[in-house]
Amino acid sequence: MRDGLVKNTEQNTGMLLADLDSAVLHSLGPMALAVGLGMAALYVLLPRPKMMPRLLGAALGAAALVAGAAWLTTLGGSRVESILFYSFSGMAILSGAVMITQRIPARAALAFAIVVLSMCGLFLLNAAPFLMAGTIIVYAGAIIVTFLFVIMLAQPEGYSDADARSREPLLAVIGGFFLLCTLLFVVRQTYDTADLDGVLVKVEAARTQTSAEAVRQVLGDPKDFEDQVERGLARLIDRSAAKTSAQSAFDALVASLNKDDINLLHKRLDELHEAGLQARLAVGRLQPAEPTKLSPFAGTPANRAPQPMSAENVAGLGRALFSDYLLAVELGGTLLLVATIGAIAITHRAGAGRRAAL
Amino acid sequence: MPLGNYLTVGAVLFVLGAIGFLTRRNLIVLFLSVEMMLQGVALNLVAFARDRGNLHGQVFTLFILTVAACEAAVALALILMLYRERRSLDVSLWQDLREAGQDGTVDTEPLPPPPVEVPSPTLVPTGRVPVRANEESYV
Repeated sequence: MRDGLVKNTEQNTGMLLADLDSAVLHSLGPMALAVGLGMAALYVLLPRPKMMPRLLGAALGAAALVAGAAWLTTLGGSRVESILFYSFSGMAILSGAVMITQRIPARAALAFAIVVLSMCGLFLLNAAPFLMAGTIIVYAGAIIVTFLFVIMLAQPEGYSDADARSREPLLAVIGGFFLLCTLLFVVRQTYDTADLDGVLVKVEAARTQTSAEAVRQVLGDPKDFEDQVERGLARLIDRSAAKTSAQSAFDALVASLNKDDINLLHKRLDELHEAGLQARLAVGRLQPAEPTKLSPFAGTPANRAPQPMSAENVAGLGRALFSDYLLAVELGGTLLLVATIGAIAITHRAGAGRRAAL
Repeated sequence: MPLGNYLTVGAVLFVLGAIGFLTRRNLIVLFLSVEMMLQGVALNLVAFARDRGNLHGQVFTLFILTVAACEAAVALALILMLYRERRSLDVSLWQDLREAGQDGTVDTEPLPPPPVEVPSPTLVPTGRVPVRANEESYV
């Protein structure tokens, strides 16, 4: 049993390493370049008593943003969504970098307000209008205002140690580089759809052909095509609806490939295209087993095919909060009460009537 | 927009917040970096909620919002108390709380001198002081 386990692990590791095919490894280079440029910009801009020229840092940061935008995949989604996504994300990352490199804390708080506003834009793009409004009201409207009050009350005089120095900028930037590269690599590895996209492009090209021979030519070597389909479907969950329907569509296409009926071929190609699009949406998805009973109160349960979200966001949130998450809501209310009392108790000074001079 | 793009942005914000938290010495900016990490996580959750078609991610983000508000209240109260003790927001002043065996932070580079504030020029008042009519109110 133990030997079997060890052998299995070696086999699995071998398969994992073989999975890191050149397509994904090729995307490491541009990603590391973008992240490296960003970290170099942060290293230049972090506050020090004698600062490097800020223009250099700004230029490195701009180059990092452009390189990062080029590295992201842009397939899928409408043009409006792409423009909004890139502007909100760019603004958020830029303001985040400004926030951590600002010497003056009040400016850092304002940069954080811009981060929050950009995140609200991204929330809106993800069908969360109530969260957008709630985040603006709570974060930008309450938390940041409280920060500004505290900055006003706790202002050190003149040029202070706290603002003008950073602790270990080089080590922090190097650590951040490795952390970000790891996170982005895992995200890309899990959600990479390059193989499936290649399959879909081929299927679309074959759909326009008018003779069975031309279709066979476009699809190329059947073994290669089958390998490409398998690699594309490898990241889907076995026995899930998306994978089984894509596999059966592919098998049906292969079965009809040697006949010369062009209408049948077109039908099978259409089915494979449809199934491929559905499979593309499901790449990298983890879901509980099919028979698990999950609550239906918050939208589609996680083990069913996802439906588009309802436009009644607030009603849906209300239903979810007061059915599935009732205990958490009550605990959250208690937490807020305790935190309010605690904050007042921490800063309370004995001697009522005396002005709380700091 | 594929899910991976939103997760990428969330990861970048999280790492930016982590770098800010590890690097800066001002207590307020330290705490703002923590809030930025929470924003990155919130974006992840909302993106997953949209991908799945249910609201669990959004509910979780609402709770993150609640907890962040409580945390901000308590943390800012603590920051005010720390400021009262030492009159500064520098986190290196509290280095005695570090692990035994760790070297403390020693500032070697001196700060540049603060910029000299040139006072605005003032004129010597000349002439007679104008007589004001004794009105009930000047509004």
